[in-house]
Amino acid sequence: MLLVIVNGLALGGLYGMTALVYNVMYSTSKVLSFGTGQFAMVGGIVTAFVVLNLHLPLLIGLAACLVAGGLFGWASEWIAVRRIVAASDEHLWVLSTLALSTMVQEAMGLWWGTDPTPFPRLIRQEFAGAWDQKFWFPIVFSVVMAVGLELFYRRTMTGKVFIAMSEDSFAARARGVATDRMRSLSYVIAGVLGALSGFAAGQLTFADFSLGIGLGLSGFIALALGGIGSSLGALVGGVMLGMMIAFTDHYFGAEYQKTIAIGLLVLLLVVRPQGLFGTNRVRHV
Amino acid sequence: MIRSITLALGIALVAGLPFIAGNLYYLHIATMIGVYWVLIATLNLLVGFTGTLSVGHVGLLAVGAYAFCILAGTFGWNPYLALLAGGVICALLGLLLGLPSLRLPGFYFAMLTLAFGLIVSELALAEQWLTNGSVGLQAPEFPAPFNTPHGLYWLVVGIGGFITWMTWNLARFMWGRAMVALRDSTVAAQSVAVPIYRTKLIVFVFSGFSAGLAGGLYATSQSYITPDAFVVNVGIYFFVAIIIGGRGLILGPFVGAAVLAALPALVGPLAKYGTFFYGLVLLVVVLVIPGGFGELIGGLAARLRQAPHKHTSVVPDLEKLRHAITHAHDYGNARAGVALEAEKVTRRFGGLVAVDAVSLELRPGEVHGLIGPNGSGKTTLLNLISGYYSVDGGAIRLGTRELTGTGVQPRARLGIARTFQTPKLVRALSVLDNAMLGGWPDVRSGFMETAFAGPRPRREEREIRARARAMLEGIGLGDVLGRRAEVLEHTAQRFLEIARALTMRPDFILLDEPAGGLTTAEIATLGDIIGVIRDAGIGVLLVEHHTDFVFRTCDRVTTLNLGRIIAHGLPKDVSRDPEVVRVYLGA
Repeated sequence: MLLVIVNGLALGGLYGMTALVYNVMYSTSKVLSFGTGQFAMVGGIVTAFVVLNLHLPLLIGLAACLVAGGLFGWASEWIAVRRIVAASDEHLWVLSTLALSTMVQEAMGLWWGTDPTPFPRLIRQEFAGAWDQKFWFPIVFSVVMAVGLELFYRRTMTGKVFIAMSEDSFAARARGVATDRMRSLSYVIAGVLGALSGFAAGQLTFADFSLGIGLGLSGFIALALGGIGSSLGALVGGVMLGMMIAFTDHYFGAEYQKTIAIGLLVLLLVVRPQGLFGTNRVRHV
Repeated sequence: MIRSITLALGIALVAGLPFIAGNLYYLHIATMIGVYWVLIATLNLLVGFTGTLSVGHVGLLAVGAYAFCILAGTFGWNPYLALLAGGVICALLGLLLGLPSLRLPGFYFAMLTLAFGLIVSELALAEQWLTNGSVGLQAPEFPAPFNTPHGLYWLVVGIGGFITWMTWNLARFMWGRAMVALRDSTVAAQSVAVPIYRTKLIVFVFSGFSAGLAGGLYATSQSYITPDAFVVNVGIYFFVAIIIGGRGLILGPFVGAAVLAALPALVGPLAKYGTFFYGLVLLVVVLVIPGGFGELIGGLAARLRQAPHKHTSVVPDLEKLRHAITHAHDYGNARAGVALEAEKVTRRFGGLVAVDAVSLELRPGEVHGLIGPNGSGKTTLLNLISGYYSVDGGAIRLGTRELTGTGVQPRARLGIARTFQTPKLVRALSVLDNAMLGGWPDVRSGFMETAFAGPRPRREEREIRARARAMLEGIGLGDVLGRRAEVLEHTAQRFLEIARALTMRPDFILLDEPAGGLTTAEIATLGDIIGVIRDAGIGVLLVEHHTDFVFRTCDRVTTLNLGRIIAHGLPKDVSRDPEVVRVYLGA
């Protein structure tokens, strides 16, 4: 039973981190990127490649993972978001981020192969079970990431600018904020954090090219559960979904994971569309 | 004439393809294109017309395919019945998915449909007792003569042709205009009483039905189905086909569907890169030509056809306009003759009280001016009356009828029309189509009735077209009927909005700064038009900053400051009121 709970918390940490990544990009651009889950996929595969195939030290693997994530984040803003945001047409950014996400996934599949491969152990640990590092890494990283982001939003100028842009990007611009550069920066940060979540949870997910779409969906459910814009909500939403999936897995089998997750999403949409910690700002059309 | 010849040639080509193709493999590819088309044709209504992105249609395709195999194969139903049942099941699933999510921003719907696509293949693997798991199911054949490759091809072409005909009907009558309107300008669509949520839901359910049919046809033409045939990537293919072909066109996506399906099938090595390639094409098209090739070609053709653009002033024909307004009213019931009333309405934004216990009565056949400094609450009051904002206190009434809790659309249906500070037009539609949108409250034809082009939608189309045309000719836009609304000059856009409002046969019309950006001569013209509207018995609420114009045109004037009424009465009194002079007019 302990194992099920720990597994749920670990999955929840991963989903929570993905939800946090959604938030970072959403704050400056009001775009929910379809490619959000792909950052973790790229981070995981790059680390596995550097450490297992090139036989380089883990720290270099981590560095490569973060650089790849940052570059991918920067590229997604530049390619799929910047031009679209000006047109302010939701229809288009859903399509452009979906297209880019598909391309990256397929390119990784062609290069890395379509079979999930094991991820390196991060620290030496002889025993397994509930205290296994594959569970504790994502849990610890998600909490650190949420706390770090909150400090960033509250204590730094850049973080405050992000908040300002999420309230009213137009007004922020009128006050001299270089909104394009800030948006670009936020996507780099999102890419780095997303890749880091892939690094932290790599032993759970394996290095798998098809991870991104499902993870993007789970992360979005965590986000919708917690409420868009809330870091605490992201973690709580993530843990709720993770627990749900871990227990389903244990009692009914892995094949019903997604069905349960979606059921939860539908229920939420009906009962409380703005999420647990969200303000009632969901724009009804 | 050219059109019917092209149509006849096209039909001959499609029907005769089996004799030209020669090779059974090519014929199979052609059949598959047809199968995909059955799905894409209606998905195009959802994506291209209403702008709602369903990522998981492949899930519906899968359900349709499995339903067909299980019902016709395992349970031995009649194949035609099984095919229909698959469509009905998918329509119900569409309803189930759409009900909670179509009210929310589009990304929620996209994610939910994506999720649905993922679940279906997950369950198809898991529920072995029903689906035979990863081994898959044998698909039954249709009875003769549709059990040969040729026969099946013709069956698919027949169903595809029929579905295409239905989508074409939906696109060319009022429903088509409503769909494009809610895609391009939700606000404008609401103002003519288009039900946003319900329209999206109906279109999604319809596209679910045809996706289910496509699934059954898919199964029988592949003769064997497994869960891995329905990966989410197939959904990307549907999108690319639609977005390449161009949104808002009926046949455009067909070209995309055919080319994209044929390429990897004919060029074997390409198949591996297929999905990457689809992603690339989708990205490039979205970035470079968001309207797709169809819209690009259409736009170029329109530019070639039109005379070079030169400045023309809008010259109304007031006699014609008067006649058009009176005649439009004969069409339906007589005017109610009651007043539109706001009683002590209040609206707060956070701590700011934008409108504070304001009462206002708008009578039929009078022009009521609403003036005041910027931020005094004029537009907010207008939004409260037309239903775009809800009141925090007070009541809105039409005669004895309580409107307070209702939304925009019911009020529009009751004859309250409005225009906007910045004109809200449907830019992709023509001037005539934009004005015709005003006829939506009179449309009684249902969705399916329109799809089958019954007599009622045809009659309504004729009547609304004639009414809108008369309004446009009266207001001075008679020679730009076919031009796209987005290329109109500012003044013409303002007048087009008024024509759209008048096409609604309103009892009241609320004009939000209609003189903004107009020249002195054009403002005088506007004054004449408002005079005609008033004389026809319509109540006009005029929010304006051109005070001379207001005092000249209006029968009564109300002045707001900081959300409160500071003066109210006849123009000559209000214009001399010391408080009005102090805060607004200036000495």
